[in-house]
Amino acid sequence: MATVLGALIGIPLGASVGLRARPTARLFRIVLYTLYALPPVLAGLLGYLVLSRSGPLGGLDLLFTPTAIVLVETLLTTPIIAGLTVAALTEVPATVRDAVNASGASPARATLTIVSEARLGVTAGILVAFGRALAEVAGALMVGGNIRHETRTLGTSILQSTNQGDFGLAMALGGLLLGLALFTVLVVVRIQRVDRGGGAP
Amino acid sequence: MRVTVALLLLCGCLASGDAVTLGATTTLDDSGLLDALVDSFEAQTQWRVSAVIGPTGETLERAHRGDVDLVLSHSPRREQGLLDSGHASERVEIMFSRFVLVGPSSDPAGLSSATNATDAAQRIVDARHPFVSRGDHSGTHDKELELWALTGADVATFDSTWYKETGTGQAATLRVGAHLDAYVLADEPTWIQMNTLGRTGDLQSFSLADETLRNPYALLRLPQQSQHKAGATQLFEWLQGPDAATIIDDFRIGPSEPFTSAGGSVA
Repeated sequence: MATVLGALIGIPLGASVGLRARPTARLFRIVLYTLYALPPVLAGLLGYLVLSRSGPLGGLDLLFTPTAIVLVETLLTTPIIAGLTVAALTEVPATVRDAVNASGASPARATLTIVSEARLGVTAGILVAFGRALAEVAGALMVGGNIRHETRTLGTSILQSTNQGDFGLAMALGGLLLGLALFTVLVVVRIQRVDRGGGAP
Repeated sequence: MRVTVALLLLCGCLASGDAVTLGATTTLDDSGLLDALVDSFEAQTQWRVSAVIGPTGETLERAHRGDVDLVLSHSPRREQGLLDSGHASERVEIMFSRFVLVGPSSDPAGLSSATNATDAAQRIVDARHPFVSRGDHSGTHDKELELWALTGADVATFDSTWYKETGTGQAATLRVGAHLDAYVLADEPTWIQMNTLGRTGDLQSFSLADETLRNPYALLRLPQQSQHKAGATQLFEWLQGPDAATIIDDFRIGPSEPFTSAGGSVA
């Protein structure tokens, strides 16, 4: 029972492409916050329709591959990371933002610095998104197809085992999934502690 | 991070390279026969098989959209529909199992005295004792609807106090049936599998010798061009051949061998 761990870890990274530093764009925020409620099964269906051979991107032959799952998870994690980043950025004091902007740094550099100031909140967003992707089932099932040895994730495996009445296995897989999450969180917390000890702002 | 994404995309492309995508129905997977057949085929050829499992309705829809290279399902009526519309180019029956009606050992509907399948179905309708349906456009669901039609009853009038639709696979439906002490129409292999594993509660099967309960599995060959056409053809031929037939006939669940190969008779 192969699990697509690499893909699940890569998703939050890929999704950080969605980081935005535009705390003034209200429409953006409304859209982002609404997308928090994007049902994974809907994301899966959209992914399926797009990647299907009779769909617009069918030629890429990505349906039922781990890549397809990564894409759908990215669709689900990006709004979360983006939205929570926006919230985190509003916490950055205006004085700090003004100082950075007035320092003569390039816009890219300035953005990077400001985002760095908000990194606790941003990290929180990434952790939430990671949790979402790790736990996701319906979307992965739709575009991945739960294929043995290929696109079976921890989530879809738990669903399958439950359906077949093998509750022992389902619980064990669930424990494994949570263990994975715990491990990741411990690593992140460690990094944060080192970071804070090193150079507190 | 961009490198990670690029690597993942690359892996994805490689993964779909030399695999035949087989759309198969849940009853084949739940019984374990599909894995046995796929493992043997992969061991004998250089092709990999990506088996995408779903109820017949979903599987045939995937075929319709060209997302699978080959189909193995068990709903003759729907399969014929795909042939007629040109979405499938050929249909070959390769094996069959049986459907079985299961229910509580107390048998409130009196199925143990039923003479045939239609009689049994009529008794369930009359008794209005809980019946759990697949409700998911699967081959099993189609057969169930066929039984109701034979009694002349209208499924639309079935009260949800006794007629429960799960919309899920065979194994899951049996579990719900076990929990509710209800009657269920199941394919025999999955029933034996679940029963042997002790997941069917108080349910027992009622033997009914009736051709109506025959459950034929057919291969559907699809006409669209795909890069895996050679593999699909090879799998298509192999599943009709002697190696597959042996696996099918000898496939054992508990004390039974519930599948019988058809020797490749064309429908």
